[in-house]
Parts: sequence; structure tokens; C-alpha cells
Amino acid sequence: MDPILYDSFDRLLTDVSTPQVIRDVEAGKSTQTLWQQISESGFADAMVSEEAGGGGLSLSDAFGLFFLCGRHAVPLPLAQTMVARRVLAENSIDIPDGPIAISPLAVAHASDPVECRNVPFGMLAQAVIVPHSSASSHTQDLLFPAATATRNGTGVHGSLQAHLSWSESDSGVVIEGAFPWLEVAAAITAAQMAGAMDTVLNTTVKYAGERSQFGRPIGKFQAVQQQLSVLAELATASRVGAELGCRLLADGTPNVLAAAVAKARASEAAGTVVSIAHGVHAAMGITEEYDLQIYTRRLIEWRTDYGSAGYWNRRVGDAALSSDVPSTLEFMLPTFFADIAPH
Amino acid sequence: MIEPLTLTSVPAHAEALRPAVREFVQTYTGKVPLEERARSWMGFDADFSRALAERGWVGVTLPKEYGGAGLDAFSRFVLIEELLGNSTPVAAHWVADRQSGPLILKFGTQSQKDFYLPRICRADAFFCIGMSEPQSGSDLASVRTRATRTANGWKLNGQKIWTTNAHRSHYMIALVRTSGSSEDRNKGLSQMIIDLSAPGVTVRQIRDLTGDAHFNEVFFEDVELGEDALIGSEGSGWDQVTAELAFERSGPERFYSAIGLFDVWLAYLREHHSADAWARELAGRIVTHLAVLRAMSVAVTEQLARGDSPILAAALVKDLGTELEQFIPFAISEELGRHPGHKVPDGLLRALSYVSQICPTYSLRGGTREILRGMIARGLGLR
Repeated sequence: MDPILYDSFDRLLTDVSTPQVIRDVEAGKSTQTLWQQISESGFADAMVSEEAGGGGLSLSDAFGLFFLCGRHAVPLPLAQTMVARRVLAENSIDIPDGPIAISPLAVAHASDPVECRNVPFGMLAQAVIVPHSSASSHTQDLLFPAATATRNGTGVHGSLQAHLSWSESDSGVVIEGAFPWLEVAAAITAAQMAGAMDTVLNTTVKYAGERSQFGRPIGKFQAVQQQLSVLAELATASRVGAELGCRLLADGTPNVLAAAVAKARASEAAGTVVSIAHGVHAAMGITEEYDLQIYTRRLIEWRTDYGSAGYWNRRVGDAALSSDVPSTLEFMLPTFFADIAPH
Repeated sequence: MIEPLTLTSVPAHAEALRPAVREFVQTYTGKVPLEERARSWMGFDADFSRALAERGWVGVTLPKEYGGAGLDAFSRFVLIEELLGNSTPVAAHWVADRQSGPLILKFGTQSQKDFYLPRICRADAFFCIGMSEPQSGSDLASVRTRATRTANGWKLNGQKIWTTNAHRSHYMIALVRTSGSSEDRNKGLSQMIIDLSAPGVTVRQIRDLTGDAHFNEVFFEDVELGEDALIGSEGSGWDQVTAELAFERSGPERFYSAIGLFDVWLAYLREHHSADAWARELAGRIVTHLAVLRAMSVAVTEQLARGDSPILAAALVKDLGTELEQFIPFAISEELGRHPGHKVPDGLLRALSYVSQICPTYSLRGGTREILRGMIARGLGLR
């Protein structure tokens, strides 16, 4: 993506999404100032078309922004809002104020109420996209205001997830155009995971150079070096996978199987990344005071949000096994690497 | 810190090569038995290499004036992706195509280029690489094989070991000491081209655990070499060898080595409708890893095509790639073993056993896992 845009978003988030701000939001303080700072920067409209006053970035163009949201652990569904605003604008739906969350597939227990479990950033959203699924009572994707929802936290320490439900599905605005919400949410979550891994890697390498034992920095020990190399490998693979997952097909629609690859790879890597980072930091890394936990808690939560590695691997495996081409190469190239529209 | 890899597409001019290569190799693959396909780039078939050369597909990155195709790193990526992705036996020309040819082009004299490069492109000259010695493995700078000056060239004495396909190659490019002693480490090393039919060269095969013999011991006893055996500058051997490594470590051969076995297993699952949920997830996991590795490798290829030497990124691809290559036989044997009594074809079992037995070498050849991780740690600023 445009390096100037990337750098300016990086600087903005360095200023506004500080570890202290993140701690405050997790402790229940208002996100109003943070949202206002981001909103005024225009980045929430980065993917809205230029005709509609936005930045006109495609999913693929915006990968770097999603990555930075994770690298700075922005305590708002900012990446989700960028995508949602684009789709809503394309469907000529008035864009609601404030951050928009994307619900994982909705489930319904009765005929009409809509219940969304474990909505990432659900505590902070002012609106929620509720995709339909075979398990939902509604057959179209809906946009709900959070104000009319019954909203409950999960009780997980520091988590921004929430369960939300609405008593009647007709209180939602119908989004007519089909959009693969789950897949795209998975891909942008993978990008945020790769960003969080980048911070985890940098933090851990720095710590290994500062902490001394046996008379030298622990980063001088081969056993530690080998672990950090694995961490670097996994962070790199997750990043490349996530970028692949944000690519578009030639017709401009998201590549849902590439999104599956992205989320599967990042979710699988997350466990090892967290374990190595905490292993190198030892007890210091699990304290509330030290910043590492801000990122590792997110990796632990995000690896199952919108489907775990197993869920997405299964999707890819089904597609590979039901294809009748003679080689994996012939399956992979058109599925994941077909030429994309530039924008 | 390591520079991030940026996703890149294979450019259209390189993709244009793919259909013809695929058509040619798939005609060929059908005739190769399953267990042969499992050998991947260890499979040796001089006739196949010559058939490729006839189509202009050996030494494609070499200039046309030497018989090459004058294509770039992306074109070679597409070519070898099709060759490996369709499990063809490429070992005969592999080393010359990947390393020796580009090395001679970069560092060779005009007469060396005129002599060797056309032979490489015709698949008339097969090369092997003389690196390891009995006392020098990962610690390559400690090599003791020595070339000493004579009136009209060099006299070579010493021994190389673990030299893949030396018994079927015409030439070896060896890293040898031309001055100082092994205490001088990477100073005083040079690269020499050795005609393996020269008097004083003895090649002895080493049989491996699969029953194959691809490794060799190569002995040099007062082997007379001409002035023109030296490739590049005297004393620059270490730098020349290091420059090759990015080419050697980031290509498709670092994650497709077990893809032939994977394809055979998928075909078995499809044919017998025996893929349960667990097998489907497992197959998907392998594909997701392959897709990411392929994307990473294309990104490294882009850096190579630009003329950079992305040694760290290449080390990263190789370490992750060989880990997947070693996971594939483990995963497949787990899956097949979950259904005791199922009739698994012998060909699949032979392919599986071969890869299971040989796959420890995947993370040895081209730099061990520990050496690569040490390099990455250096890139992270830890050493």
C-alpha cells in the first residue's frame, strides 16, 4: 500500500492507541476521545469510495491498515468499521455513527429474536452487522443499532467481546448485497493478529537483549535465539498469509478461500508465538504492568474469533478434496493466486 | 530486524511459460511410478533432463548467446514450480541449472562461460557441489581439501563427502583451501571446477537408509588442474558461496519436496471416498501452509529478480518449508494408520515410507535448521 498513508496511520495510532489508553478502555472507560481522534483522521472511511467522500481503498489496499490496528491493539473495531462502512455505502445505507462490529454467524433459539454470541469488540460497538447463516432465523444480512440490544459482557478479564441480542429481527436494516462477512472478518482478524505478532516479536527481541542472566543478555544464548527465530518465522508467515487473505478475485470480490488460508495460518501460529514470547519473558511477561500481555491476550482471543485454524483448514480441505485436478499445484494456483483486479 | 516480505504476483511474462511446461511434464508424469514421483528433485533421469533441454528449459536464466533462454528469476520459478509440482525427476541437471550455471556466468572467465554454459543448457554437463568434508559439515569454513599452485595450474588433494550425485555428474564445483590453514577460517578459500573423470579422482557411493545411493565420497589424490579450474577470484570462495545461498534456499524445492506424496494420498482419499472430517482438516492444513509458503517464496523471488540477496528471508522460507515437508509424511501415516484394515495400495505405502525415511535430509541439505535459525537470530540483532 501507499507508504505515506501507512506511515501516517502508524504515527496516528502510536499517539492515540497507547498502552495506557488500551488499559483504560479495558477497565471500562469511555472510548469517545479515542473514536473522535480516529474519526477526525478520516481513516474510518478509508475504504469508502472516493465519490462518497472516502479513501477508496480496496480490501487488498487496506491490508496495511488492518495490520497496524493489530500492531497497536486499537481497542475499537476499527478494521471492521472500515469494511462495514464500505459495504453499507455500496448498499446506499446510511452509515451509523461510531464503531461497527461484525458478528460471527448469528444463531437463533426462537423464531424471531436475534442472538449474537461472542461478538469481537461488541462492548464498544454502536452498530453491529449480523450476517445470516443456516442457523439464523433471518435470511439476509442485517445492520442493528447497539442501542436497542441487550448487551452482556463475557466476564473474561479485559475482554472487549460481548453477547448481543435483539428481540425482533425486523428491527435491523437489511443489507441487500451479498457479502462474505465471516470470511472477510476472518481475514482482517488475521491481519490484526499478524500486527500483534509483530509487536510481540519486537518486544521480546528487545527484552532478550536487555535481560541478563549468567553474566550476559539472555538473547546471547543459542537456545533463546532459536526460539526467537521461530517466533520471527511465524510472524512473517502470518503476515504474508494475512495479506494473501485480503486479496480480491478478478471480479473485485473477496477471495474467500484465501481468507480461509489467512485465518488458519495466523490462528495456528498464535499459540506458539504466545508461548515463546512468554517463555522468553518469564514471569515478567504475565504481569499486568508489562505491555506484552496486551498483545498476547488478544492473540489468544482472536485465534478463535470468526473460526479457529481447524474450522478454516476444514474449509480449504473440503475444497481441495472436491476438486478433481490431478495435482495440488493445479488446485492452489487458481484458488489462491489467480490474478487480481488492481483496485 | 528482518525486512517484511511483501506479497507479489508472478508477472504475466513468467506465467506465459506455464501452460507449455505443464503440458509437457504431465505427459511425462503419467509414466512415472508412484514411488519414483515421491523422490521429487532427488529423482535422476538424464533422458528427461535432455528432453527438457531440447525444449530450452535447462539453464533458462542464462543468456541466449550461451544457449540459455535469457529469462528472469520469475520465469525459472514458474518452470521449476511446474516440474516439482508434477513430480518430475530433475536431479540430473538440477545443480547446474540452479547454482553452477549462474555461478559461472557471474564469476567465470569468458572461456569458462563459452565452455560450460552451452553444455549445461544442452544437459550435456551435470554438476555436483563439493562442500562437506569428513571434518567439515555446518562448519564449512574449516575445509581442508587443498589446491596448491603448480607451474601450469593447481594440484588438488583431499576429500569431499555427502556429495549428491557425484557418481552421475561430469563436474564438481568445490570449495577448497588455496592458502593458509583451517585456522584461517573463511580466508584463503576458493572455488574450483573439477572434471570428475580426471586422473586421481575417486568417487565412492554411499548407500542410504532407503536403499538409494545418491551420496558419495569423493577423493582427490594429486589431481592436476589447469589454471582455468579456478572460478572467480582466488581467496573469494567464501563470499561466492554465500552469494549462492539465497538462490538455494528460497525456491519451491524447499516446500514442494513432499507434494508428490501428498498428491498420491489425496488421490487415494478421493478414489475411496475415505476422507473423514479429520482427514479433510489435515489435508486443508497442508494446503494452507503450502499456499502461504508459496506466497513467501514468490516475494523472495521478487527480491532476487531485483538483484537483491535476501539471505535472511530465504532462510526463513527454507526453515518453515522443510518443516512442512517433514510434517506431510508424518500426517499421512497418522491418517492411514487411523483405519486399520483398510487396503492401502503398496505404491502409496512405498512412496510414504520413502519420504518418511529420507525427509530428515530436507532440513540438512542447504544449511541445517539450527544454522538457519542462527542466521535469522543474527538478522534480529541477537548475535
